[in-house]
Amino acid sequence: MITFKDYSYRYKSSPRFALEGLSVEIRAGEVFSVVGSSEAGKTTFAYAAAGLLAKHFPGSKAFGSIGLSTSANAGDPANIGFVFQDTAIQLSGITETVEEEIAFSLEQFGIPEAVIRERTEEQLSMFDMHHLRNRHPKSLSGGETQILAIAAEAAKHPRVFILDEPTQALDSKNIRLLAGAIREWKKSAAIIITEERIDLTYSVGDRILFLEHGSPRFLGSLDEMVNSHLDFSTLELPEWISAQLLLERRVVSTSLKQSVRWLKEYRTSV
Amino acid sequence: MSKPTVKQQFLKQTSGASLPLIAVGIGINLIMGEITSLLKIPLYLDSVGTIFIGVICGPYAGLMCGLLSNVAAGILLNPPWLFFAPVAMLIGFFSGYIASKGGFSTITKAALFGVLQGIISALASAPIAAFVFGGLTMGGTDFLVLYFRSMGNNILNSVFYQGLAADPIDKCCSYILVFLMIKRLPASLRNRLPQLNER
Amino acid sequence: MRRTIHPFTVLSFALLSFFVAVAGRRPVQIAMFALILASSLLIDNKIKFWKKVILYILPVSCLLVMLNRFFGATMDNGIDYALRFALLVTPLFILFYSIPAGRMSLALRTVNMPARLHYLFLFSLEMVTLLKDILQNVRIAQQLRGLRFEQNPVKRWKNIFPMLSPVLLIAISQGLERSVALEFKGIEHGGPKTYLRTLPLAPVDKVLISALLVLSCIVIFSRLI
Repeated sequence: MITFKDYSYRYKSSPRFALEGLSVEIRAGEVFSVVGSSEAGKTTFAYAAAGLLAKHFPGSKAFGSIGLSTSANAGDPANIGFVFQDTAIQLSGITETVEEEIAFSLEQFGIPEAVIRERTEEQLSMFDMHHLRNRHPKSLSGGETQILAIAAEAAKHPRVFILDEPTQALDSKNIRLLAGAIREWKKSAAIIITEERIDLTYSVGDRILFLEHGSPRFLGSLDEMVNSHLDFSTLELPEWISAQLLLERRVVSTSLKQSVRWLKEYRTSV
Repeated sequence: MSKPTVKQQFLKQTSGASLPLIAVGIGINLIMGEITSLLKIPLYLDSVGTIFIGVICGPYAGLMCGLLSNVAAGILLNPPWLFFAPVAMLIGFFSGYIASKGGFSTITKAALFGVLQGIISALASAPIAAFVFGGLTMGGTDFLVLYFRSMGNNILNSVFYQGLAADPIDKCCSYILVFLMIKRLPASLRNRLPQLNER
Repeated sequence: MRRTIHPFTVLSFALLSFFVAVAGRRPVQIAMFALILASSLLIDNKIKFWKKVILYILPVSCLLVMLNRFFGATMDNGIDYALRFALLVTPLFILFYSIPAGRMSLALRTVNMPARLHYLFLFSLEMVTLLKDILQNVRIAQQLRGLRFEQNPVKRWKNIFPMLSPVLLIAISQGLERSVALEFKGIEHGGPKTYLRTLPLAPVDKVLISALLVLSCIVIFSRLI
């Protein structure tokens, strides 16, 4: 659905490449995780996949190509869901209830009324938000705001769904709900997740791209990553594993490199 | 390539990145009153946001910013602000137009055009202040209106002279402030601002 | 059960008042002002409205009469200014005190206002609150860094930058990110919109608006004749 071919990108006035030499294909029906520390290029990758770079960062230099599948209408914002790191800026800022916020983009895209109502209910159920239905979006907690932003994008039923560090403000319950939702979405969409702490990658990731200073260092499954000899010390364990290790008094650090054997242990035990 | 029509320019300057930036300009206008009173600066500087948006997004964006600033001020502060919306629209459009012609390339040019803007604002606001408010806007400079009236001038002339005494200084300082603000913008933001990037 | 007045009805009422202010004869102007004051019984914010009338409208009107007299104009002239001021400004208080911004926005949807402008109108009100919060945080942060406000005039001017710069940078940065997010919200998407909530005009609103517009035309034409 989205094909990067030898793709490199440098922001205007920046001396180094934000992405370099990327060749990867993202298919419908898979969850593609992009992991790495901060400044690795994860958000730039997300923007590139959504087709945002040329329009919103004029003057920057792109090399290579990104192909979008025309059959998926992949370039149309109505068919792309994008969840930003800063979810506060993602909300419209002009709706008065959670229900209205979920319906907002559907209204703007001219979706029929009955479909809007159906999808709004669907999202409220999927993320267990019925009790928040009539709350003002500004009154929500950070985690609730993040879930609302995700639900609002998911209501579009996008063919390509990009989530940029979606678990930052989420507790374990909401991470589990989100993982469940992703398993549903991937039946009809390509899902791209960027993460530093591999919460969702661990649960639902099919393939992982590990970026370091904009360059791809690894592409494969989580098992392959865990068994490889590459240094993943910049990545963090999923929160629930860190918590489990803490309870068992076994944690020294939450870094992946030092916790790889524990990660293997949990992978084989589940 | 043919020159874009007025409608095309208007649509371009009030969409995309400009849309939330216009809202930022409106917000800046409305909080400048808080900043000037906090810092005890004896000027309004309540068009800084409009001028800023005119420069970075274009004259039509400045025009919209001016209009909606006064609508927002009418709703949030005091309804009579609405009457001065045409003046604010003029300020936004003029600053954007001047910027597109290089009026903000040096601080001296910005200061001079600010004075000119002040004179134009005084001319535009005088009929409104005279007709709607009889010269009494209940602002800090009403005493100037009374002074000029005591010298035998009619209401319209008195309000205009009062505007001439205050507006050029206010707008000159606003233009200088906007010039310095734009100079201080980091490259990562400058590169993404619509009009600055085109020049 | 009290019926809620449609925003367009209140707008038409304000428009009639504007025409009476500009073109109406004195008895009509006085009657119009009395009607505006009486209409305050229908709004929720009565106390706020009457405070404005007593503390702003009436004193300024009286000042206009007295000052015009003081500077040699006739009493009539002063009363003309006072009535015009009262009729132009007072309806705005009725308008803004009786209609919340959200309700006005629903009414604007009914007349197919472009989604961009609709969003801009509402979001600009929201932005003021956001910037005030940012300003508050910046003020505290700068004071903790040693910024003092009560200083000589030159220092006061220089203090604008540590106050305004961070606010502007944060606001622009967020604004640019928001513009990216807006793309996915469909605000700039061409084609028809589906609005779940609008505020259609009830038959009584249509009658009232028509009557008010007809009266406005009568006022103008009676002046021209």
